[in-house]
Amino acid sequence: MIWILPTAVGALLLLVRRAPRATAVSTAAATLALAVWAAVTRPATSFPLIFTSGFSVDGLAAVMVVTVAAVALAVLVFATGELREARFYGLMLIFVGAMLATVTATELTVLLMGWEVMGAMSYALIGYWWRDGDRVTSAGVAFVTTRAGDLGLYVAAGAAFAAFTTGGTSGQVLGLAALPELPQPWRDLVAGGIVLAALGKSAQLPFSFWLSRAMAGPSPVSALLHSATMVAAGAYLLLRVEPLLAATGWAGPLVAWVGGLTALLLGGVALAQRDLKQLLAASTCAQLGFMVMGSVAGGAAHLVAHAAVKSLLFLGAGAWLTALGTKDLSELRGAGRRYPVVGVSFAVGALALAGLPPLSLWVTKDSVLAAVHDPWLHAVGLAAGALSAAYAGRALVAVWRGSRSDGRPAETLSWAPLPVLAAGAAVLGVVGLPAVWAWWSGLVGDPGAARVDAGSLALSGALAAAAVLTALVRLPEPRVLTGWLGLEAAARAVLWRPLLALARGAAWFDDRVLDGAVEAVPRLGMAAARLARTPFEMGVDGVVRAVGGAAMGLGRLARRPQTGQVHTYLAQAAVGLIILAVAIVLVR
Amino acid sequence: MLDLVIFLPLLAAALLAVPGVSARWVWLGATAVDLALVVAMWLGYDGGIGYETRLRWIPSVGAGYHVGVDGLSLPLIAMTAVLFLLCAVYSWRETRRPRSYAALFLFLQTVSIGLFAALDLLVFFVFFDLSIVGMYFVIAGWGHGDRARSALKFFLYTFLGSLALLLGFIGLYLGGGTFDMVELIAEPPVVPAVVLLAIGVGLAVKTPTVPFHTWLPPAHTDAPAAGSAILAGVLLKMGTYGFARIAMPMLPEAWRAYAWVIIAVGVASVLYGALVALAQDDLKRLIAYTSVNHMGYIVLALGAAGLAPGAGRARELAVSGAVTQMVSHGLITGALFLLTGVLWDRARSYDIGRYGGIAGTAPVFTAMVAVAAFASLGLPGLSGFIAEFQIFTGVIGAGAVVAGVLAILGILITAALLLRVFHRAFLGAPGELQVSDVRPRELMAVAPLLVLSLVIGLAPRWLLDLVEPFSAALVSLVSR
Amino acid sequence: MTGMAENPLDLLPELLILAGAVLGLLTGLFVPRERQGVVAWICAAALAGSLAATLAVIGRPDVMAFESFAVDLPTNVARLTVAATTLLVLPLARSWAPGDRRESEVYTLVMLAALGALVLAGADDLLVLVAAYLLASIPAYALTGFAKDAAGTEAALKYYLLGAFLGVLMLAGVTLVYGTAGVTAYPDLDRAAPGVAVVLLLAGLLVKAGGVPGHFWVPDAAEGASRPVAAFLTTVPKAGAFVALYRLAQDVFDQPMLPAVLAAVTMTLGNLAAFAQDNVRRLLAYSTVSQAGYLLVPVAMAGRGDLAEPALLFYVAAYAVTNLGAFAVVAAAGTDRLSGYAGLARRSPLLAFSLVVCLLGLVGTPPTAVFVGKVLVFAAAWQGGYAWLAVVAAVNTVASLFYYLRWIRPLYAEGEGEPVGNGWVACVCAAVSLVLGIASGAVLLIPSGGIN
Repeated sequence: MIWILPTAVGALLLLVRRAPRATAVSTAAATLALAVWAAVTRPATSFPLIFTSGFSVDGLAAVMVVTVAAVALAVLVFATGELREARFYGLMLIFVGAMLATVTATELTVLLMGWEVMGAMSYALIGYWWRDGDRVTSAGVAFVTTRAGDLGLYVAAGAAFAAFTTGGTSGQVLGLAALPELPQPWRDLVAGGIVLAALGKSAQLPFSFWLSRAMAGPSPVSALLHSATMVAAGAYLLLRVEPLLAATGWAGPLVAWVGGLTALLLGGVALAQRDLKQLLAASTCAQLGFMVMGSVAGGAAHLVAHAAVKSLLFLGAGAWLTALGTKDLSELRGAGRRYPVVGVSFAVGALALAGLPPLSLWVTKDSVLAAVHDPWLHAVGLAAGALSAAYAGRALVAVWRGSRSDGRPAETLSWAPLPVLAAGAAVLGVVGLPAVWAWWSGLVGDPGAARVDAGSLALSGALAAAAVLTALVRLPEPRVLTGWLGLEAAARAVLWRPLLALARGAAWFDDRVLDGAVEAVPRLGMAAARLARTPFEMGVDGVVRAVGGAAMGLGRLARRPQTGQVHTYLAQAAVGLIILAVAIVLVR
Repeated sequence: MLDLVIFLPLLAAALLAVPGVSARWVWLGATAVDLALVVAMWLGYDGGIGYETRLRWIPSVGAGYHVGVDGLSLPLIAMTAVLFLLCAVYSWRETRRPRSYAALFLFLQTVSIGLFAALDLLVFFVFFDLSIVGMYFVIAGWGHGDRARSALKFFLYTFLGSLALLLGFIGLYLGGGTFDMVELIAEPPVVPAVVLLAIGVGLAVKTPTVPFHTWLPPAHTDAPAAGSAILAGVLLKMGTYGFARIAMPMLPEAWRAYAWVIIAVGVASVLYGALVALAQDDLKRLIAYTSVNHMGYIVLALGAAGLAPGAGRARELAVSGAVTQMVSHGLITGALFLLTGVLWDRARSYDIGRYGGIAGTAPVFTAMVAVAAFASLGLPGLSGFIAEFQIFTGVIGAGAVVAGVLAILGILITAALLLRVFHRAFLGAPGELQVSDVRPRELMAVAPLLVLSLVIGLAPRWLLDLVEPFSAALVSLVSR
Repeated sequence: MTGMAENPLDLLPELLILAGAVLGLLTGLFVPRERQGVVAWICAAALAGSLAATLAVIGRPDVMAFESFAVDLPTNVARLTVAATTLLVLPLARSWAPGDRRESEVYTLVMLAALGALVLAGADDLLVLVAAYLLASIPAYALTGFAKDAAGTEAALKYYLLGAFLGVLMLAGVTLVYGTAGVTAYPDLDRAAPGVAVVLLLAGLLVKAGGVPGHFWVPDAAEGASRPVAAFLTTVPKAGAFVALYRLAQDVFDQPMLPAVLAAVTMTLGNLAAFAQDNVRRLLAYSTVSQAGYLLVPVAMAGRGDLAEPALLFYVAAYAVTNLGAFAVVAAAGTDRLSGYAGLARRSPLLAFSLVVCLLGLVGTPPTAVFVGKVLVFAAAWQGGYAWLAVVAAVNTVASLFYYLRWIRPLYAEGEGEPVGNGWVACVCAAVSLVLGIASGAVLLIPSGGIN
C-alpha cells in the first residue's frame, strides 16, 4: 500500500497548498524509503473492493517500485528549481501514487484504477500551463488516445469475469496470476484487451503520436512520464502478463513485432527531429519497443536502465530549456560546455542511449535481443539499435558543439539528481554479468532467461559506435518522419473528424427528426382540434360569417337572436344518430 | 420511521403556509432532519424489507399504502435526501418567491422518497405522477429562457409516459388481482407481453432512453439549477428504479424474452447520448445528453440481467453496477448541474463558446467542475467508475460481449466531449464572459456530492454490501 | 333485486327534495324580496335531510320501489352526489341571485332539476325514465335562460330545441321497445332491446349526459347561462343521466360497442374542441364533454366485469365535485377570459390552489378523486376486453392536460386582475376531491352490499 503515501499527500497539497516543494521532496524521499523497505520485505495485502482486491510486491513489482520512487525523487528534486505551485507537486505525487498502485496491483480492478488515474493526472500535468490552448489540446489528445487503449482493459476485465463465472476457474477473481489459465475464448479476449491497453499506454504504434503531444508539459513531467511511469506502465503490464501472452500463442509475437516496428520507425522519427524534447520523445517510443520484444528479464532490465537514462536526458533538456530558453537542436549549440554538470551527465545518458559500451543500455538492449529468436525481428532490432545510436549521437553533437556564454546561472541543488542518474545510466549494465543476471532473472520471475553473449555485445557495440559517427554528417529529414509518420493527422482524419461529423449528424437527427416528430404531434393535435371545433363553433365564426357574407347586408345584429346555427346542431345530431343506427343494424 | 422520513418534508411544506416562519430555515432544517433519519434507518437496516408499513387504501382492488425499504431503495432514498439537503443549501439566497420554492422542493422530496419506498403499484404511480406535477411548477415558475414551453413539453411527454405506465399497472392488476408489489413479485401475474411494453415505454420516457429523451434537454436547459439537479439526480432514477422494482421481478418471463431489446435500447442510449452530447454547444443540453448516456448504462445492465441463466454472478454484478450507477449519477450529475447554475448566476449563459479561461478567475469552481467532469467520464477513484466497471464486467460476463464492448466505447466519447468542454470553457484564453469564483454556499452545496462520489469511488463496500443481497435476489427473481 | 315494496319511505330522499322545492316555492311567494334568502336555507335543509336519509339506508339490501324505481347502490350514490353537489351550488346561486325578484324560483328550479336527475338515476322502467327526463329537463331550460339576457336566451333555446328533439327520439325508442317486447320494466327486457331502439334511447340521455351527439348545447349553455347555473347544468344532471345509462346498458341492451364508440368519440371531440378556447367557461364545457366520454367507458363495460359499477359510481361522484369546484372558481373569480386569471395566485393563493387541484384532478392526477375513478375506468375497460378504449382514454387524458395547463399557467404569472369574490365553495370542492381520493378505500367500502 505504498501508493497511499504520495497519493494522500498529493491530494492534501492540492487542497492546502502550503510549502509544496519541501513537502513533495520529503514525501518522495519517504516513498523511496518505503519502496526499498517493500522491495526487501515483500508485503502483500488484500481487501474487498468490488471483488477481493489486493496489492503485493513480488520481484518484478519490487524492481518497479524502487525504480519509480527513485526516479520520482530525482525528478521532484529537479523540479524544485523550476516550479513553485502546489498544484504541480500535488498532481505529481498523485501520479506517482497511481503508478505505484498499478505496479503492485494483483488484480485487474485496482490495476485499472491506478492505470486510469495515472492517465488523468498525465492530462492535468501535460496541460499544466492551461492558459495556452495548444498545450491543453495536447493534454486532451494524450488522454483520449491513451484512454482509447484503456478500453481494452475494461474489455479484458469483463472477459476475465465471464471466464471466472462460467469456466469454474479458481483463484482470485480477475487476479492477474490466474489469467493464463482462463478458458477460451475468454483468454484470447483478455489477452487482446490487455495488449491494446499496454500498447496505448506505452505509445507503441499506432498510438505513438500522443507522446509527441505529451511534450507540452513541463520538463519534469516529461522526465517522469517517459521514463519510469506512464509509458513504462504499458511495458510493465506486458511483462507482468507474459505468461498469458505466451499461453495464447499469438499475442507474444504480435507484441514483439509491434515493439520491433515501433523501435525501428520511431527511431527514424527521432533521427529526423530538430527539437530535443521531440527527439527524446520519439526515442522513448522506440526504446519502449525494445522492452516488449524479448524476455521478461531483458525487458525489465531495459526498463530500469532506460528509466534512469531517459529521465536524465529529459531533465538535462529541461535544464537547458529553463536556462537558455530553447530546446531546438540548432540553438543548443554550446549548451554542454556552458553548463558542464548538465552537459557531462547528458553526455553519459546520450551515450548510454546510443548503446555504447560499457554503458547500461548497451547491455540491456542486447539482453532483450538475446531472447528474440525470429531472425527477421532480430534484424529489425539491430537496425533499430543502430538508429538509437544515430539519434543519440545527433543530440550529443548538437549540445557539445561550439561554446556560448549566455543564459541564466547554473542551479546547484536542483541539478544534483543529474549526476546521480548519470551514474545509474552508466553502471546499470552490470545486470549483464552472469552472476547478476541469474539473480536478476530470478528476481523478476523469469529464471532461465537467455543471457546475452559476448559476440552479440561486441557486434552491437561496434554497430553503435559506427552509427554515432553518422551524427557528424547531415542526414535527410523526410517530412513523414519529422511529422511522426502522420499518425496524429491520420487519427484525426480517420477517427476524430468522422466522429464529430457523426455527432453533428446525430444532433441534427435528434433535433429535427426525433424531436421534430414529437413536436409534430401537438401540431397535428391542434390541427385536429381546429377541425373538430368547426362544427361546434360554427355559430360565431363559421356559419354566421359564411351566411352573413352571402347575404351581404344582413347584419349580425339581426342574425344573433335568430339562433341560426341550431338547425345545424340538430341536423348534425340527427345525422350522427342515423349513422349509429345504420351501423348497429348492419353490424347486428 | 420510514413514514416520517417520507412525510416530514410535506409537513414542513405545510408549515410554510404559516406566515412568519423562515422559509429557508424550515427547508434546511427539514431536509437535514430527514437526512439524519435516513442515516439512522441505514444503520438500523438488517436485510429484507425494512421499516415496512401497510395500510389499506383501496382494498377493493388490492391497493394499499404499503412502503418499505431494501437494498435498492435505501441507497436511492439516501441519495435523494442528500441531494435535497444540498439543494436547500444551494438555494439559500433564492429571492424569487422563496416560500413557494421551498414548499415545492419539500413536496418533491416527499414524492421522491415516497416513490423509492413504495411497495404498491398505485402508491408508486401516485408519487410518479406527482413528481411530474411538482417539477412542472419548478420549471415553469423558477426557470429561465423558454421555460413555459419546456415545462409544458416536460409535463405532456412524461405524463404520456406515466399513463402508459398506469395502463401497464392495470394490466398487472388484472393479471395478478392486486396492486401490491410484494404479492405480485411473489407470484408473477400471467399477462401478455404488451404489459411489459406499456410499462417499458412508461419508464423509458422517464429514464429517458432513446428515442423517448427529447423532453429532457429543453427541460434541463430552462430549469433552475436546483431543479435540474433534482430532475437529473432523482427524477430520472424513477424510471430505472421502476425497471428494477417492477418490470423485472413481476414480468420475469417477458423480461428474459425481450432482454435483447432492452440491451439494444441501452446500448443505443449510451452511444447516441454520447454522440449527440459531443455536438452540443449549450452546457446544460450537453450534460442532459450525457445523462441519456449514463442512464443507458443502467438500462443495458438491467437488460443483461435478463439474459439466459448460467452466468448468475455476472448478472448480479450488472445489477449491482446499475444500482451503484443510479446513486453515482445522482451525485455527479447533481453536482454538475449545480455547478452549471453558477455559470448562469454569473453570466446568464450556458453557451460554451462564450466562456474561456474560467480557471483564471475561478480556480476553485474550475477544480470542482474538473472533479465532477472526471467523475462523469468514469475516472477511477470516483463513484462513476465503480458503477460502470461493474456494469461492463457484468454485461460482458453475462455473455453480451458485443453490447458490452460498444458500451465501453461510450466512455471514450464521454471522455472526449467532457475534456472538450473543459478546454473550451475553463482553460485556454479568457472568453467573452467573466465568472467569479464560487461562494461559500455553492461550495458547501457541491463539495459534499463530490466527496461522497470520492468515498464511493475509493471504498464502495459499505454501499455494495447493501446492494448485493438485493442484486442476488433480483437475479433469482428474474430467472424464474 | 332482493325485494319489492310499495313503501314510500324508500323514496324519502326524493320526497324530501320535492318537499323542499314545494315549501321553498310557497315560502317565496310570501316573503319580501330582500329576505328571499330564507328559501335557500329551506332548500339546503331539504338537501341535507336527503343526504342524511340516503346515508341511513346506504348499504341496506336493494329494494325495488313501486316496481319501477330501484333503490340500490347506484341510486344511492346518485342521491349522495346530486344532493351534495346541489347543496354546494346553492351558495353559488345565493351570491348571484339576490336582488332578483324571482330569487326563490331559482332555488326551486334547481331543486326540481335535481329531483329529475335523481328519478332518472333510479328509473327502472322506460316510462319512468321518460318522465324523469322531462322532469330533469324543463327546469334546466328555464334555469339556462333565467337571466333573460341575449346569451342566456340563445343558450336556453338551443338547449331546449336539442333536448326536445332528442327527447322525442327517445320517446320513439321507448315506443319501439314496447312495441317489440311488450314490456317497459328493465328486468323484463332482458338485455334484448333492438339496436335502432337503443340508439334512440341513448339519444335523449346523451343530451343530459352531455355526450356526443347530444352535447351541442353544453358550451353555449355553460357560456350563456349564469355561472352557478352553468356549474349546476354540467354537474348534477350528469350524475342522474350516467346512472340511467348504466342501468340501460346493464339491463336493457347488450351492445357494448355502441357506447364504447360513443365514449371514444365523445372524449376525443370534447378534448380537441377545448384546445384553443380562451373562454374558460367554454373550455370547461368542452372538458365536461370529454369527461362524459370517460364516463361512458364504464357504461359500455356494464355487465362485463365487476369493476364497471364501482368505476362509474366513483367517477361520477369524483367528477361532480371536481367539476363543480372548477366552476366555483370561475364564479368566485368573476371573469371568463383566460387572461383574467393572470396572477390569481397573488390575489388569492387559496383560490388558485383550489383551481390547480380541481384542474389537475380533472386530468386525473393523483391523489385526487378523479384519479381513482380513472384507474377504475381504465381497469374496467381492460377487464371488459376493451383495452383499446383504455388506450384511447389515456391518450385523451394527455391531450386534455394541454388545455388545463393553459389555464394553470397564467395563475402563477405576473398580472393584475379584478378582485376575487368568496371562493370557499371552490376550496371545499378541492378539499373534498383530495379527501375522496385519499380516502377512496373507505369510500368504496361504505356500500359493502355492492363491493367487497
